[in-house]
Amino acid sequence: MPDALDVQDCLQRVRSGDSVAAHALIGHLHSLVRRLVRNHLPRRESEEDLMQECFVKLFQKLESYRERDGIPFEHWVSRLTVRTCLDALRAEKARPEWRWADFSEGETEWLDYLLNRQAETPTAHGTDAKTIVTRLLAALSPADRLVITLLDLEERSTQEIAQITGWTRPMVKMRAMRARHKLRALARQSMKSEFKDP
Amino acid sequence: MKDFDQRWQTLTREARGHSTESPVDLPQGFGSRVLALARQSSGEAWEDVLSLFGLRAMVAVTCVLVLSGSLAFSEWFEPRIEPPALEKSLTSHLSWP
Repeated sequence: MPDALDVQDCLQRVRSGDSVAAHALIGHLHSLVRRLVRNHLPRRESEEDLMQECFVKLFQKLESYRERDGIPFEHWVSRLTVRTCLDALRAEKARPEWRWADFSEGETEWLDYLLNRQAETPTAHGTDAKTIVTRLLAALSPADRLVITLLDLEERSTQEIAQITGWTRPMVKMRAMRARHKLRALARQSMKSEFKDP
Repeated sequence: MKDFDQRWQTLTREARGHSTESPVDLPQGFGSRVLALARQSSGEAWEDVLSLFGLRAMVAVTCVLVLSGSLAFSEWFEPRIEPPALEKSLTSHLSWP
């Protein structure tokens, strides 16, 4: 059972070159790493490739993790994974510009709601909400996208985000505020294209 | 803006509720691939470090050799200061017949 794994014992065995322990560690951590990678995945990157990159980095840097530093191993892994994803997001050359015509009916209903053109909460399917959030976030800068994903989708506290990213708490709050401003501007911009589209 | 924030929160709440968090098994051979890559790239990293240090050492040794060589040559070609033939001329001038 992966959840019953004694992580510290496993880490010691991995450090001494035990490949069975290394496989057990991957099995124990893969759901955590997959969830983070899925939330911060660049558009053109494969989930499995990025997961692989995260695990390779994890084994390369395992020597630098010390339990006595007071950081739980899972936090250390989360931090490493998020940073790897941020690097992958930064490596993306272009960010998409969405036009009204790119959205489905359900998605435009959510955009209307977001921009105050519709008072009622949309009755559209929840997957439309998920798609519109993903699309808007993809148009943000990597750091803005990261902070909004951690704060609004993963529901992490500013303290946790500060620990993961290495930013200060006021910096996290400021970045989140600016990112929401940009989101609003992006939503408005795509709405304007509604009138330009033939 | 406050209104947008509230609506954005509603939207993200809805998106969170429909996130596909299905448990997925590890792909076949994923662990072995990761371990092989980690071993390979850690070796490469060491090779990189060694080659970097090797390159630096070579540059340093070349600099030392050039410096010492130029010093040796400058000493070799340095004009030798011969003591003037003072003694001889004085003795020749002051020598009594």
